[in-house]
Amino acid sequence: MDPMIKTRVEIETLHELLEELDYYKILLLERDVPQADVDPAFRTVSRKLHPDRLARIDDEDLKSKANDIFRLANEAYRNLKDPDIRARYDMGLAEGNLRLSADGRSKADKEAAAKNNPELAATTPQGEKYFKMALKCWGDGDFRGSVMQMRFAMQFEPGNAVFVEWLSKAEEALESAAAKKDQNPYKLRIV
Amino acid sequence: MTIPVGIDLGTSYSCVAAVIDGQAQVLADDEGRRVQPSVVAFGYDGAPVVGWRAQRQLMYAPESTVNSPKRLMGRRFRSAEVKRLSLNVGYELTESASGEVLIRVRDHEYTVPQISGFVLDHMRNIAEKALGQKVSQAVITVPAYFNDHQRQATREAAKAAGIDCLRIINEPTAAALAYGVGQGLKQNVAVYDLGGGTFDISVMRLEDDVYEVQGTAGDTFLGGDDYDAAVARHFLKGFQRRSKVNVRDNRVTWLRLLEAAEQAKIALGEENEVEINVPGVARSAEGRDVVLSARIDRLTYAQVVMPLVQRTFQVCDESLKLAGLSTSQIDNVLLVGGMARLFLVQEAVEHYFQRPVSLDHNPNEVVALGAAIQAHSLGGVHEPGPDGAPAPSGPLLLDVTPRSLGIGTVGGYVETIIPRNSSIPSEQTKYFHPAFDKQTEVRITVYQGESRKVDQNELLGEFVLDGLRPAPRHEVRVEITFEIDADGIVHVIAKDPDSGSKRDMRIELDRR
Repeated sequence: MDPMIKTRVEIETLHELLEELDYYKILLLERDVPQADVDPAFRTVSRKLHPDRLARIDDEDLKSKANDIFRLANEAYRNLKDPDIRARYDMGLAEGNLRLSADGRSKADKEAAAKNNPELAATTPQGEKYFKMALKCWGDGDFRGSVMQMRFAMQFEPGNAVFVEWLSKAEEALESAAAKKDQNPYKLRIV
Repeated sequence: MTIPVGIDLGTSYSCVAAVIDGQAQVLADDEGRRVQPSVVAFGYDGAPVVGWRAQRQLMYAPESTVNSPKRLMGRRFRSAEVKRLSLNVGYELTESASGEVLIRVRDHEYTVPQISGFVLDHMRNIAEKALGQKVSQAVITVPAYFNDHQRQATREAAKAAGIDCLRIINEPTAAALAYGVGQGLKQNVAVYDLGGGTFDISVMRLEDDVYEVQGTAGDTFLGGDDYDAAVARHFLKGFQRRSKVNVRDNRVTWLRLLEAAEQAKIALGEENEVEINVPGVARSAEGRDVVLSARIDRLTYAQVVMPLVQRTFQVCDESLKLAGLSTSQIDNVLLVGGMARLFLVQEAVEHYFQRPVSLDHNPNEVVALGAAIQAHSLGGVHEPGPDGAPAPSGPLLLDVTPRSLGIGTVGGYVETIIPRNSSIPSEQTKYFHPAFDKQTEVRITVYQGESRKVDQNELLGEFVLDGLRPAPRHEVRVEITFEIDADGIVHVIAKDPDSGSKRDMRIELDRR
């Protein structure tokens, strides 16, 4: 008898069901699983189904199926291990979306990255160029320039949330700077 | 069935190991030496000599002795790196018709993989003698930050030596395997790997037998050779300040200076101050040979190389960020590579991680031991488990792609499809529009690297998807899917979901 028969049957079965599995099912989890249990569950699945576990079996078809399965397992783990992305996935899952689309995922990634590094926020080269100039003006305390550059940047990426935020930030700074100037009691200029 | 071995093909030294009776062991040569210099010397008859004997030839016949071939692996002749390297080696480099580097020794031209193949063959011979049987399979290690061309070149080297390369794995990952095997650890481990040519850092999560790579970063030009070059330049500058004569501007002088710098580095491990003497660096006005002599103490040495040490910590920051961890969450730090035990490196690493480093392994051997363990679990003979199946024993490595993969888009920008540090196997899909209205075909160019600009990434391959519906560009969608297998094969599929036209390409991307 094939000594790997159990693993073989498991892989064949999973592969047939692959299209119908959501992220929880592939990791053998309930939907309300505590966050802390996601990591160990992924390791349990890995120990059993990782393609390297089949390295010594001479069956390319089985290996290719194991790769297909594990790609989904990796995707599931990647998205479930982050509570924010998991929450986004859960919403989609309630509507019947078994997988988080790459766009949904990359949107979440980009937002997270943009929070930490505003320079990543731009999606067009021109937008990036003007955004960088705006940030430089901001750093130099030139709020008027910053507002102007931000408006240029917005022409290329009107819907960019980070840009909108920065523009309003720059406008506020410009206003308050202007207000301060008006409050200046020494309205005398040296001639 | 033969025993598969693990080979650490290092920049300066190589090491071979195998699992014997369940224990990973270094295989020594007949004189008991456990590592071999990665040096290939060619005698008058053109026959290659490898290892310690070749090392001895390096000083008196640098033009026919190839050292550190690994630094040239997978690089284009016209690249800036090769230009820099050509100044530091005694042998001659030329360009092949396809732009690869060729090494010219004694009127013979060799490719870089051929030279590395001689080293691999030498390691295999040592293993065969030690094991008393034929060796044909190996796991070979490379720096984590090697790109695909460099990994392919390593595979070619194995092929040239007639070795079946089971897998290419990353050096820091291999070190972690050797460190953790059989210990049932639950730890976050940072592997700080400072070798002769490269620096790598990997942050890994160990959970019993599962090793998950969490973040990997590196610099392929930040190793011991660069330290020696910095110190050699320091000697040269000091000498020129003190004396009026012009130093001979030739390779032999420079190589001697490099050697002096290396000796100083080693001696400073024991002493506080050392003196170096390099004869024949110049000819004085009276026609006599001038000796360059200089003293250097630990403090000065540290000042000279500190910028290089600091650069490694920038790379550490990067890998911790990728792993989403801070230094305080690291439970153990492994120092790997010949340079890691340098007095000031260990101190600086302990300071950076705010904890003592682990010292109970040999930094020169641990990578080969890990490779042997992985070779054993991929290709070795295993005892049947309780249910009669050959137990899927040995540690399991969950690895990542060290570099991002993407496609070229309009304006010379790269759109990432699979970001670096993604666990593999992996699959990701993105959608694109053609650049123009009524465009019926698109060229898909596949790139590897972190830059947003096409020309700063490595081109891995390209193909054309035709049969697009001639329509306004915003109505046409092109679906691009990248799939990576556990053994590093990338499958790129381009599809027009509306017309059903589909093209694909397989790229053998060597996994770490």
